[in-house]
Amino acid sequence: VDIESRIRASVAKKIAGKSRGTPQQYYQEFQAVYESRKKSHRERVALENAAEVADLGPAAYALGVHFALMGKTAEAQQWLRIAADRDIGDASFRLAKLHEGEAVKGFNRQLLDEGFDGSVDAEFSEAHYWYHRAALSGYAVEDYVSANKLETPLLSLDCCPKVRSAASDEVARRTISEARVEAYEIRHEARADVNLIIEEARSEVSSLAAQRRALTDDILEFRHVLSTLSSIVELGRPSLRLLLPLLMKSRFSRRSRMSLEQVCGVYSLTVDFNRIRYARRLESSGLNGRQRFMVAMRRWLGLKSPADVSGAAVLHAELLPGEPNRLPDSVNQDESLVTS
Amino acid sequence: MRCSAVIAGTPMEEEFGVFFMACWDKLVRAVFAGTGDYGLAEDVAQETMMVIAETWGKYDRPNILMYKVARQRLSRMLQRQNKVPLQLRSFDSESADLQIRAGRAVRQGDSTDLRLDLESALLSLPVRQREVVVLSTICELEPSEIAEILGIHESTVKTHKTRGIKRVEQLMGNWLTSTGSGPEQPVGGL
Repeated sequence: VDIESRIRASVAKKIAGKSRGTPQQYYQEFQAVYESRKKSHRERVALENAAEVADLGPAAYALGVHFALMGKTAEAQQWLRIAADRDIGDASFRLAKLHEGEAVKGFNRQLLDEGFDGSVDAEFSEAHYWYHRAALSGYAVEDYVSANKLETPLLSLDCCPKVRSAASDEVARRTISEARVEAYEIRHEARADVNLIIEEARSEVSSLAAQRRALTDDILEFRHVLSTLSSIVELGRPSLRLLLPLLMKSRFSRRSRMSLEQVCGVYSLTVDFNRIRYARRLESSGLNGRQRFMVAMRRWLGLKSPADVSGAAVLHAELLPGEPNRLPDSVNQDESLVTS
Repeated sequence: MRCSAVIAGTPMEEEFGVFFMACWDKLVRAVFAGTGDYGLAEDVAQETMMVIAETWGKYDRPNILMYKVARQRLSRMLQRQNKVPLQLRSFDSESADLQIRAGRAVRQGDSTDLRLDLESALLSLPVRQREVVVLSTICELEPSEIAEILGIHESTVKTHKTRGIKRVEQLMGNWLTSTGSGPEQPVGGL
């Protein structure tokens, strides 16, 4: 007969001698007492609370372990204390370890800050107290007073697999959540960067396109100018006289017109500097604008023959439509005025 | 017939009645083995059954809840009675006292004292070991159920049980050796 059977038989025999009746009799007795107590609302609430409190210890321990694994010390201490108060030995030991850890951390912190208060001693006292409570729950038998042997538990402190699994899940969920937030931020920043780069590229492309358009326009215009100039050059030097009217009638841009005016100016400078002087004299002659124009036309364009004068009149009619054509006389008069 | 007549009532009451009949003895034995006080064991069992009856149908496993409530009720009653927990006594003195009593019992051929000594050996165990031994041997619960009741790991339950049984065996073996009896002989007329 093994020792377990002996214990079982011994207890059964012992009870048999002390029992006051059968289970049925006990049940009847129980029913009578229960019926009387059931009438009181307070009693019923107390009985229900007792069931909840009985379940509270392990539940609080599970919560405490969960928070401890999560690194939430304050919450872990709170729930482990509740469990330890309900004689959960593992909770007492874990609580003692937590207080000890806090005490050591506090000691190191205060050592660096060069100032000690009573908080470290209080934490050590708490740790000591809960080590004793753990000892009372069976963690140490021989020497629970000195607490030296309690630092290494006699038994495994593994929490139950469900708690470990739940804590792992919680850690995993937190990690995933943090990773998601981080990924979202990275994606957001990357998108902003890409948008910025795209905007810059777009603006650069549009700027380049504008430049290209401007260059194309310039090329076209230069071609036009060149073709015009070449056609003039082909006609020979006298044809340069036609440059000004061409210029005035042209659809060139302002810039090209200015360039051509410069060409004209250079031509004037190089070919007939006297004409410039004449023009200046013309400006100071007191003639009005129309008279100056006509004199200049005659002088610059070399309108000496009557045909030229009539040509100038035609040109005048074309350039200044609606103006009375009294050019020959006026020109002659103006010429005489200027000369004088 | 007698049983069904006793537990007549609503289906819930009948269910609880069957549960009461099945578990009463186990519960009383468990508390008695843990305390050595039969009156206290009956009180604790009755209080526990009150709680179970009041919450009947609300919990999936009333047998597990029953032991949890019994532990809590017992702890409260011991506090009220201001009893010193058994494990606070010196184990060495307990062991020596046990061996003296066991030796005296063998010399006198008193089987009652032998049973008492077996129970005393059980009571001399640390609380947690005693709880595990009682729940496993007397209540015949599985290690997983015991772990759930005590809020400890299953491997811890097994360790406690092994150490508890070993210690009881050691105590009884020492006694048998000291009295010259072989370990094969039944102890206390069991």
